[in-house]
Amino acid sequence: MVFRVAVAGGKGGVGKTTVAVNLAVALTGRGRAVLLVDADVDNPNDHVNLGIKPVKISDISLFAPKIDEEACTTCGMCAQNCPENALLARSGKPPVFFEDRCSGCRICELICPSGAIREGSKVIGYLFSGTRRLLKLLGAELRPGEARSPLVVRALMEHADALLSSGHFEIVVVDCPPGLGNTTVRAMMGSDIVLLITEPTPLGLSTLKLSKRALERLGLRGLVVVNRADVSGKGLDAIKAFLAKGGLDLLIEIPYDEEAVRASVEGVPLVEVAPSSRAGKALTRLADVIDAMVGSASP
Amino acid sequence: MVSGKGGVGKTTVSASLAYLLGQRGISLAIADADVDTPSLHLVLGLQPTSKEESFLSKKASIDEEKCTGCGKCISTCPYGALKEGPSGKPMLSWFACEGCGACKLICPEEAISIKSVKTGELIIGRTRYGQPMATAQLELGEHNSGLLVSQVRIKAHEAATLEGAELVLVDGAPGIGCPVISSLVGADGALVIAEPTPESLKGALRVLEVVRHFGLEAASVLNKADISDFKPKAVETLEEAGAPVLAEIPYDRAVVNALAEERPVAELYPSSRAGKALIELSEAVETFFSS
Repeated sequence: MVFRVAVAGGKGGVGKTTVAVNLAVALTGRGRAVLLVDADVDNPNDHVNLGIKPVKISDISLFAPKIDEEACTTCGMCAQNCPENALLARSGKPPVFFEDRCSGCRICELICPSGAIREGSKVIGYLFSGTRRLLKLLGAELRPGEARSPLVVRALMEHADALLSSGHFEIVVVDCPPGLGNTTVRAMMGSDIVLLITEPTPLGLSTLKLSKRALERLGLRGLVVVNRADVSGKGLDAIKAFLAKGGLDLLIEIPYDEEAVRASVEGVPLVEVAPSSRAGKALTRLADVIDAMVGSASP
Repeated sequence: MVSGKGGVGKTTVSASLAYLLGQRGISLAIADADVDTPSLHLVLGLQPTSKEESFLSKKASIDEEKCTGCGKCISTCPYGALKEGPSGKPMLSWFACEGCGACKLICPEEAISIKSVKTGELIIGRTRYGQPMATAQLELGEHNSGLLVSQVRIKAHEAATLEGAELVLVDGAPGIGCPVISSLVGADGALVIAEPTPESLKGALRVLEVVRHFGLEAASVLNKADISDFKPKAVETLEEAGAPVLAEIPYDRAVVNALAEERPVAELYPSSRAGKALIELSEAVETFFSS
């Protein structure tokens, strides 16, 4: 069985990518076969932190209607039934199609009595992959101007599952998008553990509370990582007081470290370039803990 | 206020801008469009006056009595939201269902209906500075964040119209997708917040593509401007992308300290380095967008 770790946390910019990339690199360094999945499809950055140039695998497309103007009887059924109002009926003429609105549901194709809706497609993003030594990266990127991030994540997770079915990988680390909406839920589903990254501010705490409820509802196990833990004593105390109420455990505190900023600018993972820096040590310890969990999970 | 990448300071900058512009006698309404994880209300001290539930999402609902288990809905669902359950009848995966109704259309037994479900909660009130504000909380796993953002935006615009406010400040969500697009609708201009890191710059450029897609004016703010040597490159790239840098805000513990007190940094620590930069920014924003 593949051990699935999701790196999430709700709020943006708390350090999900830093944790995901360093965890994946550190686990690979321990001889584990790791697949890192960058599911932050609005703004994927794992490859930037890894310092690699990913290669496009394929477009991610949705069905979009192509209207056969010869066959169209201009009955208007497609426009009436389109749930996204992406088709506009015109009397005596074929409907007008607004590609931006289309969600690819195929209702127009299903409902058209004259078979005038033909198979077309629109590109909403693309899949990419990369390799850094033994680490394999898989990711996807939403096309700017497109709204349907959830469907890009869906295509990405299906592709990841196909790769995992080869049995080659022991661990998959999923770098989730910010928020707790549909894209994040899709990226987290099926995880053995969810690392909830937070920061010691009221904003971090407020999001952590939402994340806790979310994991309870999804039946997922969460562990808390406080990033930049030492920037506010008051903030850290508030997080600890919340965790003391139970249901969610603190796994590790990562201190604020300028080395982390430098590593990100240079595109090298901190655990490799500065393993003995303060944040580097914490991230290495995190990898040790996860490594032990995987060890005890496999037969 | 948008950024592409999350956590670069949209809420911090928004809160101080709302406070400072208010102090200078500009009447404004505020919308928090980060409906996934809203937090601006904490810093601005929102006192809610009304709450309402939004039912903008739809989901399929299967009548087990009528269902014969023919499986047509499973093969028709374009989103893979229906799978065969242990009883041989379809099971709905709630987070994958978009409520399009293709299953309802194909079901020969009329066993499927499309029901409205709660998308989130809309909250309206005033900040502790007296400004009207709208915010919302999206339900877990919902995919109609853009529709909820529209409602928040409309409420803020209504309040602005009612009170003759000159400005609507929308604190956007991270990313470039549905909620971000929705927060840009109706805007005259976009302020892009970035940090001097490759990740943040990449996010800023991606969101600028969306901003241009809608033909909006753009300017930018460099936050934590002094944390890396990447700054000159960041400034150059933002300017080249058509988003002149209106202010550079230095990394300053005063920001975290003000956050810990749930207050705008420009209110609590106006003479801190970050406070001063935010005051300059508020002047520049006023000039930039009024021209």
